[in-house]
Formats: sequence, structure tokens, C-alpha cells
Amino acid sequence: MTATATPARRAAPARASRGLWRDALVRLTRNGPALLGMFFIVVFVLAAVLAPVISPYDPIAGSLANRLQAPGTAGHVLGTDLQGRDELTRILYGARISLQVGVISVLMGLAIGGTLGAIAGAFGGAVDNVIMRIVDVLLAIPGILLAIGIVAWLDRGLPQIMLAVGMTNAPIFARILRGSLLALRESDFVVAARSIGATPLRLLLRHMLPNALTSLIVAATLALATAIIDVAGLGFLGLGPPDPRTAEWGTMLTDSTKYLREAPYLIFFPGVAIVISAIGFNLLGDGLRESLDPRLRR
Amino acid sequence: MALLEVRDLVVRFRTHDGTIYAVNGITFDVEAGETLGLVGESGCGKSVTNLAIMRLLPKPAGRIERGRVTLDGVDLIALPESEIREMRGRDVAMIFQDPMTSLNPVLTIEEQMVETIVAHRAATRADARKRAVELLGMVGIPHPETRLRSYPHQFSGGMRQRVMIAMALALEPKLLIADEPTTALDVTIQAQVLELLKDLTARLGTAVILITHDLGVVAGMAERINVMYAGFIVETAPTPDLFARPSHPYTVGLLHSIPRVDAAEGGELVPIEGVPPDQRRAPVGCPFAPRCAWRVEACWADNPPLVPLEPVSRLVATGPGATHQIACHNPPLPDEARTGRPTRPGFVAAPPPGAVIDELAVATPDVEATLVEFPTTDAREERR
Amino acid sequence: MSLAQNAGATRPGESDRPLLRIDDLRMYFPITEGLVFEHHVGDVRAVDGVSFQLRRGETLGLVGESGCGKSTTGRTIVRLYRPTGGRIEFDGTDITTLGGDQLRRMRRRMQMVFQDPYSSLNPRMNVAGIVGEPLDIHKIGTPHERRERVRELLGVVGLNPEFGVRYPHEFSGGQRQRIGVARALAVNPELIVADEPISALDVSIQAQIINLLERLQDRLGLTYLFIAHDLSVVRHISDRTAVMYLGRIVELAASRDLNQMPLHPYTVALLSAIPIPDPAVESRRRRIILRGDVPSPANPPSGCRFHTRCWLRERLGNPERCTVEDPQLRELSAGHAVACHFAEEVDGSPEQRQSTGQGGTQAAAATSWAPAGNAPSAAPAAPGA
Repeated sequence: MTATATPARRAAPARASRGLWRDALVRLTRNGPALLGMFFIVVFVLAAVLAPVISPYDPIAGSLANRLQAPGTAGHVLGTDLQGRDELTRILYGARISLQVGVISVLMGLAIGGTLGAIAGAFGGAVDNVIMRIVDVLLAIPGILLAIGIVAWLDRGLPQIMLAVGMTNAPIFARILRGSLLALRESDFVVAARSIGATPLRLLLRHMLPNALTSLIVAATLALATAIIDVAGLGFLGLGPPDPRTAEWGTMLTDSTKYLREAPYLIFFPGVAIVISAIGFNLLGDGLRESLDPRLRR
Repeated sequence: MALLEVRDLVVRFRTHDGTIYAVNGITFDVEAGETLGLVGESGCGKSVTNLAIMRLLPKPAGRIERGRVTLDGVDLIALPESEIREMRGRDVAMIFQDPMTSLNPVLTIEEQMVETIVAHRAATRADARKRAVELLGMVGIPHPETRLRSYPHQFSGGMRQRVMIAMALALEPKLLIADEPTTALDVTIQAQVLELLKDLTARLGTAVILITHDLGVVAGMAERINVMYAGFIVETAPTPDLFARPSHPYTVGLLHSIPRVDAAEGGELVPIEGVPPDQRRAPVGCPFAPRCAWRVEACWADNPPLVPLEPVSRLVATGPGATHQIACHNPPLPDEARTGRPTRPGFVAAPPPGAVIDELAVATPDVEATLVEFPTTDAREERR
Repeated sequence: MSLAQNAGATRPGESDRPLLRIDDLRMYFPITEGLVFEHHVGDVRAVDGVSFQLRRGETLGLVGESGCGKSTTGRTIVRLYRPTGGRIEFDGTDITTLGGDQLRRMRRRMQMVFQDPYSSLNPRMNVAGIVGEPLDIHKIGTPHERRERVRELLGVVGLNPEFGVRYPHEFSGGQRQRIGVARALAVNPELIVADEPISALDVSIQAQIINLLERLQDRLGLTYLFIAHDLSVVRHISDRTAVMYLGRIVELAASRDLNQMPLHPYTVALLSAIPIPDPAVESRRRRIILRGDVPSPANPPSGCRFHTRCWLRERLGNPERCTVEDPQLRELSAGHAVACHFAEEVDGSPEQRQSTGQGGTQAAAATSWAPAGNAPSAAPAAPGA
């Protein structure tokens, strides 16, 4: 071996301690697909936040004189739709709805599902049995059907859509959290904490929840992708926002189906927007799973 | 020409966290019918060496960077994938620590054994089945006819390892690689399995590479031993020589780290200080230097090559007369090997050229430290 | 009072009282069937009538193969489980059914060290948090005092006190086990139950931890219950050793006696199965190869639980007594108890001498005693292979 190289095995320079979270972040930044996913998400979020800044047009009012301009027309990069509204503007504003509904519905799902899962996983026994049977019933109903039911029942409206999408996610979150809590309950370090006299509350808050969180974070990220698709799906089925003029990707798709021949781009661009944002969250979720998974680490 | 020749084998893994220097240029031979022990701790490269021989390194991370491996004169590294698959099982077979991972859980033992036999030998299924029954009987499975129809999970750990041995020997390979075959087993079951392994391979004339961390296991099983550390062979010798005159500080350290059940008195253990090597750093100097009590200045910069312990006119690579070789600048004297510590007057292990060896540890545990005054349990109970 | 002063500090009149007294301890785990409405179909009798005492400052080794109930015994003693039957007395107090705060207080006096240093430390807590947690839980000292104590504990177990802010995954296996030891020491316990504390570690690291535990015992007057599957390690560290088989103690003796004069056929077999790192000894040793596997603790054999695998029973012509009468632990010589009807037959037998290779010189004679009965039934019968 090279004898001239730097002295062997000198201690690594003292560096700041890295918790598992920071460690995971470093891993994430080395994960190509996850970075791509994050890029998509950043584009998506920026589009949503900066929509009024980027576009000079109104997403709702258009002039019929301007209708069905092909993409590339001066002033309309992505063309205009049936009502003569700028397509790019509508896609940017559509991102607002998707992001808003996606994030809020996932948070609602986390709140409902997380609480149920935490209770089931922490108490076990009969409580667990009752909660999980309810969750099983919810899981047995296809998510989109459940959402349709809720929207049909509570009438159309953004809050209803959020609740509907949130409710489809809640049982999934409940199941995931409950599963990891049950596994953690028997893990050595929880048994160790029990043996030094930790109270049940301390076991849950300090030992079990922080470790169960990773799987929930991954699930929530992936759920964002599904939520975006679900929102578009509801919109496509005519269960979108009550105002039919609202720039919402799913609704935009429905509106354009009849003009598939004349203006295929009206299907194409919202479709791409949905796919890219969903893929973004999927890639990030997979990346998070890899970087947070303690099994990949010694 | 030996049955298996490994020359200057270098294996590295490329991971997200950087390169892992798993095997760093090792050379050894295995003679037909010989049992070679490969001893070392987790991460010393002993398992990777054998995965490399079988061309079973995890892809795409693991790569053979350099070296040559020949079996009966056939270069295994250059062999196309289809031929290496032929070779696995027929010429070289492997058994693992956990037989459950290498048996298919959804197929019966019969399906798995018959398939293997039929695939490699143009035998009929009926013949293959007869052979399977015979093999199961040979490894001591009671009622082999009926047990053949069982699934892997229906066997106990020891029985599963017997099944694995039966499957490995089904095609009478020339070389059997046994990777920690008894580590997961209880000691009485380990005794059963080792006895069986020894008897069968002797009867069939199979050469064996026995990978283990347990010096006791190789002492009774192997004719020759390679001691590995951090991807290097640091000592190699016929088994009697190695135990009669352990000469590398690491070998000496290992022998003093385990209490012997036959020792008249408890005796004192002399641990190897420090932590296992970090294989994410390119090896510089002797890999054992940071933990070695005998290290001298040169050890930090210069990795000693594997050389004969005593001058020989001709190097013997295999068999009971193989040359005892070590890779060490400052080998322990026989007396020191017995006590496990350097006893030459005035000798001090050379300090590292850099700062400290391991920032996470303190050199000697501060057992005499006065601990902060705390109310003890008793005091508290009294106050209650 | 400092930790050091606690060493061997016993109140007057207590010195002869055992720190721990276990009496007919039973721990059964129910086997249930049914998904929604579970019903009880049987029990895994993990621990089935174990009794022993532990003196202050003593180390008792508990050894046996997987499934023998040694770990369950340890965990039941620190009351991670509620025993099915029997009695656990700690320093004169019956703790068998203690619960809630009383149990929590008691846990300060007995701590555990776990087998797997990777899974027994919470990956989301830093080392100072882990080691200091027992102090937090029991509200001992001021926050400043706790920090100081943690630093010192780290030093005591050989870790750099500066790195308490680091997380477990940054340490190697041996270092993590030291963290586990430091955590156990934090509240000045009197008893430490060490459950296979070295079996997950590399050979070269095991001796570090054994030596550390021994030094800590000398210094702090700790009492150890040392659980392991490796008889050579147990015998090295323990004053007395108890051998367990299928939920029972089959032999209990001073460690030296147990090794040199094992009296239970199972202990003899266990000793003979341990490989010795010395080819000369290995070549002249005769192993007793036990037939078959350990029976299930859900359905233990009648009479003596070892009778299905016993080489001695076979030698004696399969006496009926072994299958019908459950042998009790009886003291054959001072401090040497064994649960075997025919333990006297073991004493002086070539198997006993051979078990550790000490009878090696009689190798010639030994060949004559390798009767078919001991020869492994499991070994190849060579059906024309």
C-alpha cells in the first residue's frame, strides 16, 4: 500500500453530532430520484404560490374571441381553452387547488388516522380490536368511492373534497402507525425503557412515537401524490369545486374531452401537470423511505 | 496445481456512503479434499471472499477489482454467467448460516432437491427422487421418504441445516463452502452438524472452506487456517502450528479473548482493545495497528506482507506441511503469545502519528472515577 | 452517599439475607387460537418451577440453549412480566405482584443489560439522553448533577464523555454495549440482570465487556445474574452456575465444580459440545452427540424432561423411572444440586471426565466406552451413499 499517504487512521476531525434526521437528510441529498422528485415538487409549489406573479391573465374570465389558440401563440405559451382563457394560467392556478386540497386533506387524514392508530397501538387489546375493525371496514371501501359518497352526501365544495380525500387516507395512516407502534412495543429499547421504570406515557411519547414517525412521514408523502390524483379524479367526475369555472386540473380534463380532436393539448397539459406533481411526491416518498429506514444503517 | 487458487483478490463495494474496502488482495490455495478454516470477525472479508469465488457478490455494488480465481484450472472470474451457474452446485456448493434464507419456503424439500439433481445431471425424476431420499438418510433425517414432502419451515434449525448439507452434497461437488454453518445453532446441535459435516466430506473427499468466527470450531475441523482481518490474511498455518505458535498479534488477541471451558481456573482475559476497522477507509499501514499492543513505528505507514515465520527454501501453500506465514512487523515472542501481552522490558506501543485512535473511546475506562454524589436508593427509601 | 460507598454497604443484620430469592417461579405464555374471539388452547411453559437464591455481590450464571427459559427467567425477575406462579423476593420484599409506582421504585434497584446493542438503544435519543434517562425518570438530582453524572458514567465504561451528544448509530457494537451498561449503572442498582450481554458482539470485543463488567462489580459491589448460552463465558464470570433445560434448572453448583464434575447428563453433553480452541485437545476429546432437538416447551416430556435425549438413560437400559417421575433438584455434595435420578452414575463416568477434555490421557480407554447408545443416532447411518 502507499506508504506516503497520510498517516493511517487518524481520528476523524471532531464534527458536530448528527442525529438520525440529519443523517437521513444527507442520504436524501445523495439520492438521485428523490432529488428529481424534490425538483418537481419545488416547481409545483412555486407554480402554486407564484401563479398571480407569473401570469398576467385571469384564470376564470376569458374572451371567446381568443378561444382555442394553439400552444406557442404569442402571449399564450400553452394556448387558450374553450372560453379563451390562458391554459398556462389555469394550470398554475390549478396547482393552487391541488396543493391546498392535497396538503390539508393529508393533514386531516394524519390527524384522524394518526390519533386512531396511536390509540390502537398504544393500548392494544380490546380498544385496538374495535378501532382496527372500523379501519378495516373503511379500507374495504375503495377510496374514490368513499370520496364520491362523502361529496355526494355533503354537497360539492372544497372543504368537502378535503374531508373526502382525508377520510380515504385516514385508515391507511391509522393502520401504518398502529403497526409500527405494536412492533416497537416489543422492541428491545422499549423493553429497556420499561425496565428502568418509564411510565406508559413516556414510553409512547419518547420512545415509540419518534420511531414510528418515519413510516408515517413516508406514507404521508406518498399520500400527497394519491391526494392530487384523487382531487383531479373527483373533478373529472364532476364532483370538483362548486364553481364550474374554477381552474382545477380534473375539471379542466373533463371540459376538454369533447374537443379532443381540435385541441388535444387541452388534455395533454393538465395531464402532464397531474403526472409530474404525483411523480414528484412518489419519488420523494420512496427516497424518504430509503433514507429513513433504519435497516439500511448499522 | 491446487483445486482452488485465489490470487491477489481485491473486492470492493460502491455504496451511497462511499467505497467499502472488503477484500484487499488475498492469496490462498485449497487442495482437493482439504478443509481450510477462514477465521475472522464480522466484516473481515471472509464471507465476501467466498461470495466472490461463487461470483455471487451483490450487484451492482460489489465488484471484483483485481485478482484471479481458478477452480481446477478454470478461471472463474472470466467465466460467462451461464457457465458459472452450471458450476455452482456441481463443482462448488455453499451452505449458509441461516438455512431458511437459502431454501425456498414455498417449495417442498423434494421439489427443491429433485430439481437441483435433474438440472445438473441428466437424471430422470424418479432417479433423482431416489437419490434425494438417500441423501436425506445420509444426513440423519429420520423417515426421509415422508420428510421429503415437508416444507422448510416444518424442520427445526438443526434439521434444516442437515437438509442444506444434503442439498449441497447432492451433486458431490469438489468444494464445499460452509459460511458460519453452525453460528445460528445451539451448541449441542452445532456438535451434531459439525460431526456430520466432517464425516460426510471426509467420506466423499470434498474440499471444504469453513468460515467461522469461532477458533474452537476450526480447531477441531480444519487442517489449515487463514486468519483474516480487515480484508487481509494476517496469518496462515496448518492448524496444529497455528495453535502451538500463534504469531500474529491479532491471532494471539483472539485466543486470549475467549475463556476456555477446559481451563483449570477462570484465568484472565486479555481483550483486544479498540473497535473493529472502518472499512470505508482505504487501508494504509497495517490494518491492525490501531488495536495492536505490539505495534511499532513502521506499522502506521507500512502494511507488512504475508511472509514465512521462519526462512524456508520453498513455500508450501497447502496441506499439513504448509508454510506458517504472518503479516507483521513486530510479532509477539512465544512467551508474549502465552500471556497475551508484550513483556519485553521497556516496550511501548508506538503512538499514532495523528491525534488519537478513536475519539469516541477513552484509553482506559475510568473505573476509579469518583462519581457525583447522589442519594442512593437506600437513602431515598429512608427519607420516604 | 456516593456510588462507591454503596459498594458492599449492607445494613447490619442483613448480610446473611440473600439479595434475591426465587421460589418455584413459573412463567407461562398462553397459546390462543381464533381471530376475533381468542380462546386459550395451551401454554408455553417458558419457566416452570425455578428456584434459586442470589447473595449480595455474587454472580450467578444462568446457562442453557435457546428456548430453555433463561431469558424469560431474567425478564420475569425484573418484572417485565407478571409471573404465572411462584415468588420473587428482592432484599426481603415480595415483588411478585408489585405494580405501579411501587414497582417503578423497585426498578431503581435492579437493572438490565440487553443482548443486542443495536436494538436496545433508542436510535432517536442521543447517548447522554439514553444514559441519563433513568435519572430523569426517577427524578434524581438536579439537571446539572444529572449531566455531570452522565459524563462520569460514560468515563467509567470507557467512553469519551465529550461525545454524549452523539447518537447510538455513530458507535460500534462494543461501544454501544458500554452505553447500555452505563444506562444500567445510572441509578446505583444493586442487582444487574445481564441477558446475553456479549453474544451479539465480535469475539475480540466480548472480552472487553466481560472485563468491564468484572471491574465494575469489584468496584461497586454489584450482584449479577448473568444469562448466556455459552458455558465457557458463564463459568468465567460466575461464582455459581445454574444450567437450565426446558424451563427447569437441572444443575446448580459452584462454577468450578460444575465444569470439573458435572453431574447431570445434560450438563455433561453441553460441556462436551463446546469446541475448545486447541486442536490437540479437540482430537482426543470424545463428544457426546445428543440425539434430536429440544422438545417444545408447550408440550414438555413426562417425567424427566431430558429423558428423550438422555445418553445416560439409554446406557442404563431406559429405566421407567425417568419417564414417569419428575426428578427434583437434590444436593449431592455441598452446594452442588442436580435434578437427575441417576446422577450418581454420572460421577466418575468417562463421559464426565471427557466432557472438557481433561480425561484426555485416557483416550485409549475412551474408545471402549463409545457404545452405540451414545453414538449419534443422528449421525449418518450410511445407507449405501
